[in-house]
Amino acid sequence: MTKVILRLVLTLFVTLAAGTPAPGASGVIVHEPWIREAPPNAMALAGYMVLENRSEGIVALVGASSAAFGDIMIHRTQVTGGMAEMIHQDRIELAPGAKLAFQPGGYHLMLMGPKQPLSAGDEAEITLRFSDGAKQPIRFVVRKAGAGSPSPKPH
Amino acid sequence: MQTSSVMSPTGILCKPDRAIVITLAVVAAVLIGGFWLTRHSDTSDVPPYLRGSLWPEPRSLVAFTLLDQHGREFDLDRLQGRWTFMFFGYASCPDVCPTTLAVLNQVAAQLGTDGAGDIAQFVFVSVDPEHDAPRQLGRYLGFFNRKFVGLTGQPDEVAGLARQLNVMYQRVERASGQYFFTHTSSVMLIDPRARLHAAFSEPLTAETMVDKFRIIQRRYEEQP
Repeated sequence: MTKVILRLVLTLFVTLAAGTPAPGASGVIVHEPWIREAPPNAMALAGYMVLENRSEGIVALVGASSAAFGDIMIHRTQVTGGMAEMIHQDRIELAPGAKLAFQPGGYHLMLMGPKQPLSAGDEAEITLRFSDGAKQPIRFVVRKAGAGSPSPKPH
Repeated sequence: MQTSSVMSPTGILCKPDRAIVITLAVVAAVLIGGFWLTRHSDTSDVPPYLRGSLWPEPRSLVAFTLLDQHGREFDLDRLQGRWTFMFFGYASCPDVCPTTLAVLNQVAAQLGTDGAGDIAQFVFVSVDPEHDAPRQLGRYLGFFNRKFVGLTGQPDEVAGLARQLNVMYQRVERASGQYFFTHTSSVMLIDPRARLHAAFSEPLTAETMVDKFRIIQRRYEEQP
């Protein structure tokens, strides 16, 4: 019992010391969640982030929802032979310890039917759903970006 | 190489080594022929860096009629006299199109700062003309750069222009009723004589496009 408590305390301490958000119930940390600012009449925006599986088992992202958007789908942009297409992802599996980046030109949350126009600086809460039933509400910040992530990507 | 020849008392070169003469003639023919070829072939002096981008021969475009975001006609005339970076997409595309438009914005800025800005225009053609009306396109593109041109119009006119540029696109329906487009993501470069000149393919970066464009522009201006 003492060992478990010690381990929990140590994990908490390390997590706090590292300054990163604590893993949610699923053991997944969501780094730098952001939405690319889009034209005011855009019907679909893109959400990006880095998912890190801090748990010891495989966890999968299986969906997302938000009061700010009519519907959200997970997609992956793929360019084959010069043609770009979006491939719908039912689930994104993360091995223990794995990090996966959602970034322009790759994985993204397709945020459809925004309830109102979003400008740089606004925030939208998006709830991520995982395979173990865990739900994590995450605050996504709207950023005006160039071609890619506005901040240095975590490796 | 020693030419073995024997001078007869009369000074006439006799007993020439036939093999050597033939070899010299062949070498001369190859040199002359090769020289002629290099003058008449474009690919011999194309830097490897450009080979994936340049069209083998610039392809002249034929007439088409589309509308820009101000409702004004856009046809072949508006491709004359300046370079055009042309990209096909649709306004409700969440990832690829905004990313590419942002890159093209960087290209425009870089070309603008070196004074070459006015000789290039940036044109976005909607593969979803039925939903992307001129005004919508205007608001969409204005978000990226007010000088970008957005084209829409009759679906078969869009299809005709795309075909000329080897651009493909296809509408994909989903069970939910949502639809998306699969589309060529390359940026096409049209020269001031309204000819398809080159294509920039993924991964698209402003640095690469500006670099290649400057080389292409210089080669174009050096030709008669």
